[in-house]
Amino acid sequence: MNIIDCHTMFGFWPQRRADISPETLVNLVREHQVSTALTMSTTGIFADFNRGNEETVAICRKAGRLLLPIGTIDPRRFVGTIEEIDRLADAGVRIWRLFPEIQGWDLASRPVGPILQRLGERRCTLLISASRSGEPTRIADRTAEFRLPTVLLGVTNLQLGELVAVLPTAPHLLLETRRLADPAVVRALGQRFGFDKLVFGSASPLQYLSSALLPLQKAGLSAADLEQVLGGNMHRRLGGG
Amino acid sequence: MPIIDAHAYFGAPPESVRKGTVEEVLGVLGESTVNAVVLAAAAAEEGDFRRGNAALQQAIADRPGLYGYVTINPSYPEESIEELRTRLGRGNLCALKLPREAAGRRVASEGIQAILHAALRYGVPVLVDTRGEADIRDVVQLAQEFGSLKFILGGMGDEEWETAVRACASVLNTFLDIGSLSADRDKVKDAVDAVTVRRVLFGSHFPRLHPLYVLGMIKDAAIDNRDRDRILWRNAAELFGIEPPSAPLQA
Repeated sequence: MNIIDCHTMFGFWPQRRADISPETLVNLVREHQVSTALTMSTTGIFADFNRGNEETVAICRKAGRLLLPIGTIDPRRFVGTIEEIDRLADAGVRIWRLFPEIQGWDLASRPVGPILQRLGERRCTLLISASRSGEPTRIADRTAEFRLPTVLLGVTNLQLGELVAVLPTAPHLLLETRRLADPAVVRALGQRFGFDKLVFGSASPLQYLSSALLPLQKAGLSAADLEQVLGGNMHRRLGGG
Repeated sequence: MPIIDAHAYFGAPPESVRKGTVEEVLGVLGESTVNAVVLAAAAAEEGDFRRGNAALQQAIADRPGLYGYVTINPSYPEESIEELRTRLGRGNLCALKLPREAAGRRVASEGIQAILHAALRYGVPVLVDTRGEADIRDVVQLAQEFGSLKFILGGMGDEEWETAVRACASVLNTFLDIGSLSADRDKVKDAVDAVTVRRVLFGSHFPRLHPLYVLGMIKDAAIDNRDRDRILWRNAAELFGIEPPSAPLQA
């Protein structure tokens, strides 16, 4: 089965001791029979997004179809962010990640609007963390006007009520399954909102890949639904099928 | 290799799609090839702990592979001590649990100290939920004060697992239950390296988590199969005095 992991990274992680080198990422991806991992350099989070994006593109080029690039920009700088989106989108980068939870900026701040607008215009998909109560609601509201497909990363089974309330009015949202942490939650969300709303991401190598993968593989989904969640939905976001 | 789940629940939180009935526990844990489980009553954490304990005791009676915690509440020390007296060792209740919801602002309260003094005569393991650095420090302090009791750090401090691993390294009567939403890739190996493999336990926290989520951590951990064997059942068997059934649980 074609597995696309929409959420990986490589580089150096300053917040705790962790081996997230490109070699480790590639080994883990192969070991778990992931067909393609979307990835990005952590330089783009903690230091400089231009340099980080360059590192990402270079590593992905070297790894062939095993790794595909995620672009990132930092609204705190703002200047040059729209140009960077255009530059990478012209080169085929369709998936973007923003890091308000790490970089400490507010989704409601003025620079964010034009960035979301351009990502929407360029038919990109946004990945963004929504692991805290209230974040799915805020992100849904902020991204709605730009018709920007947005994957909520790190949502948990504890947020089920909020997700059930938000998703009917936010057709542009998708959910990463990693921390739903229970096959029954995956099944319940898929049956209520459609399995086209769920995508597989692992946060590897920072997190255990099997913790994200095993509950999904044992969720008792039909082969067609599982194929969608594990890879098909993200494949379409990447411009396939 | 059998599996003993050192920490799961009878009953489910209100936001869950699960019910946490005994049948569900048996079905889900059985499908995950778990042979025995030590359950805490969810109702005892969120409401009257005595009613929760009574319901758990009744639910697991004469069910092979099902064991239980007697939940205590430090705001009710006398009643908690009475729970120990009347329930421990009966109907497969084999350990104590202090839930985070019932612990108050700090785990190391006067109430818990009174209960632990009473618990000394029973010598059973004490599981305390830990959700951050203050909880970890408090449990370590209690473990040092009550050196003849064995303390399990439920959830291993959650996001603060690195603190738990370091703080417990030299406190030999502490054990780490690895189950939590925090799935940081090094946490099992780091725990084994710091506290030795004999003090690391598998707890699924079902139905708040799923056994496969936590088993995924053990599957991916950079440890050998002898260490997996210890984490998955041997340590729990020795700690709780459990002989796991040869077959997985069945609904």
